[in-house]
Amino acid sequence: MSEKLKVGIFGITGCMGCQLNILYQKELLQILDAIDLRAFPVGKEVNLENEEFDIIFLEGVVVNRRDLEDLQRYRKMTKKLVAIGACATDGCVPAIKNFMNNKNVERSVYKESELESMHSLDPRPIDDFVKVDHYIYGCPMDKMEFLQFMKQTLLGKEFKVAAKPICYECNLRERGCLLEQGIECMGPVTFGNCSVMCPLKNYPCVGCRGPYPDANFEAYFSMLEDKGVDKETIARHMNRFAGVKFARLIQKEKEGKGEEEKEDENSCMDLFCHVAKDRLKKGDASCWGGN
Amino acid sequence: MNRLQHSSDGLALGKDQMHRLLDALKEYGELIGPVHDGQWLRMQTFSKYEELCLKGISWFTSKEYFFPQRQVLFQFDGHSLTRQEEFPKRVLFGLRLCDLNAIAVNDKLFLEQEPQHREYKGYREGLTLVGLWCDEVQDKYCFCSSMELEHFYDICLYDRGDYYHIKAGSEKGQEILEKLQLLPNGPYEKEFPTGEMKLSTKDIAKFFDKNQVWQKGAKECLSCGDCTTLCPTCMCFDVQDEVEVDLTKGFRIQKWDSCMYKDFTLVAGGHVYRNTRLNRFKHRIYHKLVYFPQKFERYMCTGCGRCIRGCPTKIDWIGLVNEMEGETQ
Ligand code: SF4
Ligand code: SF4
Ligand code: SF4
Ligand code: SF4
Ligand code: SF4
Repeated sequence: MSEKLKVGIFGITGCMGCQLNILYQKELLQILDAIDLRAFPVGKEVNLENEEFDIIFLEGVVVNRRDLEDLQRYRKMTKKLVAIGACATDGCVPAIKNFMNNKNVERSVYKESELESMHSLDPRPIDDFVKVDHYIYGCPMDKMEFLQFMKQTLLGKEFKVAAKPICYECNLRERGCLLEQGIECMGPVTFGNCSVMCPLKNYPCVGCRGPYPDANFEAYFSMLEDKGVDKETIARHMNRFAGVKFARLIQKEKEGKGEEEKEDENSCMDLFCHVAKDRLKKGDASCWGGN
Repeated sequence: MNRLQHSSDGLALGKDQMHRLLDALKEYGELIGPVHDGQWLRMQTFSKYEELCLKGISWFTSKEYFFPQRQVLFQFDGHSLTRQEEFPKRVLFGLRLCDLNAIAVNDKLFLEQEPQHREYKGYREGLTLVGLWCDEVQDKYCFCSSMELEHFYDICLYDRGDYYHIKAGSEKGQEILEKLQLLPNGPYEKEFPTGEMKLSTKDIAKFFDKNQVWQKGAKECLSCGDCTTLCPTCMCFDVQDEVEVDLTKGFRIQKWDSCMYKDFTLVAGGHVYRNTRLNRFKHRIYHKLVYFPQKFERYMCTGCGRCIRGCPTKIDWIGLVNEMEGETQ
């Protein structure tokens, strides 16, 4: 057998839940046997840095310049960069700030005298700045998906998840659709391959795995409207874990439509569009900034 | 299934005597029937007649019982391959004609042509099918009377108030009923019920260029795949290899898939054959009414209505087909 994979597990700004989820993995000991874990500051004492890694798992969202520098350093250190958890893949809760006025946010935390020297930034998922090879979604990162990643990678295969919405697994588990009961579930627009614990526990999916790339937002919004679901509720859900990515996909869908269709367009589609498009542009550090 | 020539002659069994039938059926395997959990009607194990809900059509299908969501095709441990050798014996009780015919459709693909599907055959041979005739449609989404269904069951029950008129549809069914020594009840026949929903034509190939109408459906479609997962005749699957972390053991697994997803037709090199929602939406209906009959000489759809009933946006493809037919008249 060839040499073991050199693996590092790091975090930038985040709650560490995803890194802990690696420690909670039932198969942890087997995984540790199979890899050469060179660095995992959350989980072990001796950590090698500044060397070549085959895989770096990175948790967290870019909220400041230091995160960005760390991110760029990790990218240079590794052959493959894997984003773990909603912060890294989609921006998660910190990225809600993209949809707010930065000055107002700052004022709610800092004194007026400190505001002068403040330059707060829009928090962004890591693929806004560097190439990401693989994504393990969820808030926290889905343990089963992490295990799938490890197994396929150890086997020498390229990790791939077919794009299906949450509804697929939900139907396999014979949950019975919450939408049928008038409950606002985000299953049809959320990336699948989750253990659907939310619908199974009678709680609607709130989209923690980010958008299903083939979602039909217009149809989804008008269906919810027909069912009398409050738009604000949906906007809040969408914003909570993956607002940036949802908004970009929705804007792309709008752009793909002919003029004619745009006119009778559902107003729900504009939920996120009060945010200027250039603000949501993928940024390098220079165009990345608030207002 | 060794089917008998259809006849309307049957036997009588009082509803208060149903335990006799169920006791006889228990010899043929685990009893599975429609049970209501307060919100949903699903096919699950039961032991007494009183547990059943024989009104309405189950939201979920019974296909899990002969075409499991996750079917291990073989296991390997570095030295040898093993395959599933034992298959359960089950009685599917209270299936409607649409769901019984759905099994006939699955048989066409998996049993009645070579090579047979080994695991499907295993499950299928363990099944005993007990049907329940619909006196009326179960809800507004049923359109079975449009779908040319056949009498396909081991035993079929017709509700006659306080008793059932019972017919055997196969040698196995006859054998079960003989054990019960029931009184003959003469001939009894009942038409297929017709509700609001009717398919005006099944010859939809002629609508291939009516994309504006098809587009109305596609525009509403979320590509969620609920329709195909709930459909009793959708039998598409994906095959994947799974391993243990230490790579010493693994298995090849067959899992339900759906043509409503883009990745369904993703091939090496990144090409996707049915990239647009329109193509995927059309394909599903074409498979049911055009491609399958071309090959197997029967319609694939059995009119159970689940793909509309269970669709989050309730896309009424029957209405779309009728609209296109109306335009060509
Ligand atoms: S409950 Fe949610 S995830 Fe489940 S089928 Fe309905 S919409 Fe999809
Ligand atoms: S069901 Fe939805 S909200 Fe719940 S864990 Fe899965 S993706 Fe996240
Ligand atoms: S296509 Fe629809 S109506 Fe026909 S068998 Fe499938 S779920 Fe039932
Ligand atoms: S191709 Fe689509 S419609 Fe046909 S059986 Fe497969 S999933 Fe069902
Ligand atoms: S259930 Fe309805 S919305 Fe979902 S894929 Fe099928 S047709 Fe489209």
